[in-house]
Amino acid sequence: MLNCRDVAHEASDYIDHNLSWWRRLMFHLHLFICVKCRRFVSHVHITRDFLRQRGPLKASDAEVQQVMTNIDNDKPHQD
Amino acid sequence: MTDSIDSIDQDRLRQQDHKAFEALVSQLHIPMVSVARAIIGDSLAEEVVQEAWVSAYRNLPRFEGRSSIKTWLFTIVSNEAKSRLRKEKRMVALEDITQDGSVDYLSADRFQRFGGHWKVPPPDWHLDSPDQLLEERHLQKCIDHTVSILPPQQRAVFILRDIEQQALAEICNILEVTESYVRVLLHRARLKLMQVIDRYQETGEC
Ligand SMILES: [Zn+2]
Repeated sequence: MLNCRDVAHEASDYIDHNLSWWRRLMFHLHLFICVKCRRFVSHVHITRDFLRQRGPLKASDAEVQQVMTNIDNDKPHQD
Repeated sequence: MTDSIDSIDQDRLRQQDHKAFEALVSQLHIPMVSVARAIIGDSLAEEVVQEAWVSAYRNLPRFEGRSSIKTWLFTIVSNEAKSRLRKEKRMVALEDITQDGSVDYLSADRFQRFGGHWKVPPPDWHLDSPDQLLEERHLQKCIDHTVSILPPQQRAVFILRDIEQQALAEICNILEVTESYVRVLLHRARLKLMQVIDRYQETGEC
């Protein structure tokens, strides 16, 4: 039988579908009887989806310009 | 997302179009830096990434699209970092995750010693959907800050998996680590960010 500590350690594997079917079944059984773990797993789920929906972390204009300058400087060596 | 990688014209990239390349850099520079830092450490990461961009630009006409452009770029920066690591004869140790005490949800104090039940259960959230969280401007800043101070490998895994949606197997190749280790790092990163949300829900602050 899984306990709450196991659930806390494996919650990402559960929501990402990375558990074996047997472990997943054990997980389901624990969630069925444990409201605190249901809340925990739901929060991990919301956290993951929220972070995914935020989109990419964009570079600053200065960072982009630095790269573009290097590329311009590199060109003469190519010809 | 309107300005995602998919909206950048791959034919224009192959023709080394400056504007298209600039858009690519803007979207992927931060993930590229995170990969380099995870492999070679902070001091050389910036240099390695600059070299990777130059080499990517040179090789764009030969990009065949067999992998996604993201995976192609992450592989370039990863190879650049690994070869630099060999040249410098340096070793970057795996993060000692057992010493990383900052994931409160995984600490022994959270659970009863016998039976492993919650001693300090997770708090209730009044904002309990991704959409509600996305509306909180200040929370976004708290999250960005916490992402920026994650240990390098956790940060790279989190960005590659949850932001850039790379497959686990790709991440293993890019960072040269095992899949079980990637999963542990990802979980720890998520829980640290979840703790930021816990605190924000309770106090409205980071
Ligand atoms: Zn439980």
